Amino acid sequence: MSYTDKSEGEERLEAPTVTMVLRSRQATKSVKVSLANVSAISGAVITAFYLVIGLLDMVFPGYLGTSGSMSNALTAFHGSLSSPSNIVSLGGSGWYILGGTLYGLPILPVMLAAVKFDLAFSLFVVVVSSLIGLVVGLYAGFFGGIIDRILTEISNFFLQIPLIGLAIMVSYLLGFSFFDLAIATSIAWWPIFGVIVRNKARSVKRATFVASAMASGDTPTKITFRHIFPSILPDFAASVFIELGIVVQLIATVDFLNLDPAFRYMPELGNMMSWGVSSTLLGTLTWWPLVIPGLFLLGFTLGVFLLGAGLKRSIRYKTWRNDQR
Amino acid sequence: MKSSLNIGKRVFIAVIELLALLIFLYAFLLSAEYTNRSMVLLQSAGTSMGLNQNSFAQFFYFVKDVFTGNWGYVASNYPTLGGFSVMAVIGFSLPQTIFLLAISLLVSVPIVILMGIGYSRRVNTTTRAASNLYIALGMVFPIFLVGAFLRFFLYNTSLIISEPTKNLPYWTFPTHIPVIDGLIHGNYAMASSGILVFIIPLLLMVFFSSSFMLQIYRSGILKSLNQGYLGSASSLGLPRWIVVRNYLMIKGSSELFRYIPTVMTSILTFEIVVEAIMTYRGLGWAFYESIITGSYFGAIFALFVFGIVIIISSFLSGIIRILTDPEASGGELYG
Repeated sequence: MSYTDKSEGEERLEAPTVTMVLRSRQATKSVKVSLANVSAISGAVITAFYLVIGLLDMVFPGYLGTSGSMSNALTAFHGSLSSPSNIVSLGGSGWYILGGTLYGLPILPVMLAAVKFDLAFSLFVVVVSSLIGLVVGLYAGFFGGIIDRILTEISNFFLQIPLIGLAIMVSYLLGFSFFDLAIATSIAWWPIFGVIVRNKARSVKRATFVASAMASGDTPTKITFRHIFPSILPDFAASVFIELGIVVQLIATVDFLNLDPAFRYMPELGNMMSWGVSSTLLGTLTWWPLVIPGLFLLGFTLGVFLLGAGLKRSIRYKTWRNDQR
Repeated sequence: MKSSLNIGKRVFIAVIELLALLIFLYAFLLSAEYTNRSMVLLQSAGTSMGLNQNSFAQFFYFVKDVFTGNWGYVASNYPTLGGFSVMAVIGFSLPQTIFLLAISLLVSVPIVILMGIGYSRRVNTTTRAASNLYIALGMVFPIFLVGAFLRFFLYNTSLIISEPTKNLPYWTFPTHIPVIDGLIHGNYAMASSGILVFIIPLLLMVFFSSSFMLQIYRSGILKSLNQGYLGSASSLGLPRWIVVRNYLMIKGSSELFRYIPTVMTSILTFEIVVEAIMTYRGLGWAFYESIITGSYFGAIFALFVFGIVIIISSFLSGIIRILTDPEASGGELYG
């Protein structure tokens, strides 16, 4: 795709090839900068570890030692504590490497199932709410005026609701399922993304390339998604990772408080911790059913936080490098 | 004139927020599964509040009852406060929540200001690294996890109330706050036990609130670090600490004021969790107990009071900003 300009005696590249070369150089540099960021790398490794755990159950459904779903197995187990055969049905002795709960359940397989559940819940909430927040924030930031005002007030209202109180009300008072709770949480969560996107979009709106796009007659939708969105994408992506950890904290908190009997035996990290605490109430100070799921939860929130914070830092570094040119 | 307009706007927004809160809670009340929970007491209370009429009429009855203080009764299976009116339960628990909130804010704000100084220089310093670590710890550690660990390992100490009692503790005392009532009446045993059960919730609240507020304070300081007037002040020969005190700390505090609704919401959320886990007898605990015993009115009006606290703090912070911050008052104060 290249040609030689004989008159000047030097090789020139066609326009598309120049762009491709520039892009590949930029991509290489981006990868180098990101690889040098220790916190981003360690965060990515930790997050990948949890994703693999979550995916394993989908690829090999029986690997946790139960033939059906883990929540059904747990409910069956807790429903008939007098029958010792249920303990065997949850796996062999190898599963007890991290100990067992007060009722004799092996912690490891239940915790792996809990990681899958927590990941699925938080991914759903973050994906749905970030998409709503992205669209609303982009339009509010770009159009400004009354639309911005209305959207800001709506998001302010949602930001003033204690989310844990809302989640508790939705899950228990209305008797909702976890899927309904995920939808309700997504609806309450979007303003967090909306505010971030709107603020960034407002600052990018003043850039020359946006003015050029407006002058050339591009439609507002095209300008927002084609020109403004790529500029806010890095910050947006970083906040998505950070919020992923916060959503997991929320669902674990609601489950730890153990409000709805219907979900008491759901394999979830907060639920498992509440089983651990209940051992105190029965007079036995066995620490592992509480501490091990707690550390697993902490590991996940630490991983996504490091990844998000590391991404932000490497993006800032790249922006700074671009400004220097 | 601009300030008056802005104040009017704040009043209008507060009224709209109150209306939205009422509609929101009313929707919950309508959706609650009375029959499934077999709450005869609640059904009769619902009828007395006019909830057997059409939706619009019900809403007006609901609003009327909210403002006349007819908030229904707590379900009889409530372990501690069963049979009491919701208003009485809130009257008992709210002072304890406000007390915990006020003391934790009093302790948190100096921590935030001191740690915020770490961001007054562009270069990385030890103070700055420590502040960053403090924020990160607050974000990474779930509050319930720390509370659960503390509760687990301190269960057999006098720092945690182990079981709900069958009577209203300290009900006959004026403030309903054991520490203050004990001191007023010379009952030092009550005061000291009040302090003991107060310590862990306070520590949790201070750590998580200050960590959250420090994030906002930091963003205020970092934004103003790029302003030209800081360079001018330094070039005029002003000592660094005066620049920090007069410009950066004020900017950081202004940012905190700006985000008061978010700050209050987060702090009250922390409070619900801390009170529920540590059995601290505040409004968050009343909300939690109401939920687990199926006392809908108790839960809904506890959330209503939380909402009112947030709306009032948001309104007051808005007014204070309009009266003190030229940026918020549309530049009129410069004139």
